[in-house]
Amino acid sequence: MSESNKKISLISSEGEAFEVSEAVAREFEIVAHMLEDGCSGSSIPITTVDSNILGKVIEYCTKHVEVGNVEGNSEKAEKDLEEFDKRFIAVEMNTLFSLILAANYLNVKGLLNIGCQKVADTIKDMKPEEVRSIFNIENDYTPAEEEVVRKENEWAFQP
Amino acid sequence: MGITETAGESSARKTRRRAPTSIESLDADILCMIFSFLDLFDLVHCTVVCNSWHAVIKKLKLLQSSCRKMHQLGSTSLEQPREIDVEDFAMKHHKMALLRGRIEIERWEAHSHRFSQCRMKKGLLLTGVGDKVMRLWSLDSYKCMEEYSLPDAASLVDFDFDESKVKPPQVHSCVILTLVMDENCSLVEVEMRGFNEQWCYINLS
Repeated sequence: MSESNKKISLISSEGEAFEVSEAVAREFEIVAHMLEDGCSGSSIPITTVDSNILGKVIEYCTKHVEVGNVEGNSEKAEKDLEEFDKRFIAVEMNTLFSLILAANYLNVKGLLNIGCQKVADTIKDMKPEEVRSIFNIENDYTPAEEEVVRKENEWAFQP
Repeated sequence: MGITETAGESSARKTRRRAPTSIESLDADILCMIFSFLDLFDLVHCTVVCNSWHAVIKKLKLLQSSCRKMHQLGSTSLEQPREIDVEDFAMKHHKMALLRGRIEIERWEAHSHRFSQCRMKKGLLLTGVGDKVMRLWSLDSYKCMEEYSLPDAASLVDFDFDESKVKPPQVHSCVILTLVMDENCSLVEVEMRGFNEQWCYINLS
């Protein structure tokens, strides 16, 4: 219980410090490992994540730690958390990708999961051309190459 | 001067940092996670999007594992086919989905009262009600096929319809979700589903 009062500073790529409880910091598996490996420093640099995204990841973890600590009425809490996740991940594409990258690097599994799910939901039921335009992906196939790839699984492109 | 320079520098750095993260920043592992949420059709569409997506899907045999996943969901058999023909699998799956799918159902609005008796035989449904009429319905076309007037609200159990009169239509789609019969084999509950999740629930008890 005493460790929950301990504060840890996470330093963004811009050098901004975010003070969080150890429980929240431990939601970042990368930090949890550092702490277990005996890294006792109270400030941890997260050099690849900027303040904007780090702040969001902390918000996500804080909420999940809070809900995790509440006992009883777990069904309602779970529903609330689902709602929170849904709202949390409804961001513009660039932010979404930054969040996924950060979650992957920091190893925040839940966030990585909802981020990937969100991208998948966007891809769902889209034609390849639509996927390209939504995600701004350059078509690096020549028309002939694309034809070959389409032929590989022709059945999926029949109207 | 010095101040202007600093401002210029920091804004330049900012622009560099703020270079938008695109989907192309995601590595193969993350792409693979995203693809794991997609079904076979969407995955195939993804192979056409660009070279790198195609490479990830092909290299990790994601199409094949998607088939395996569906196969396991669809049956209790633990046996896995060694070689999977993705197309063949997809077509079979598609066909099954269509067979399980919904078909149109029409509202049966013929009796002036809620009918209290109901009997089913070979794809035909016979209903009877306090308005002293019995109606014979086709479960195939959902149309009323015959109408019988009854002198009294006779019990359905005593009333049997002549099958030779009507060509029994084939019942080829599962539109009836539940049928509850009592110990005398009389229908007490029918639940059916049609297009647009319209469903019809008849409780006769």
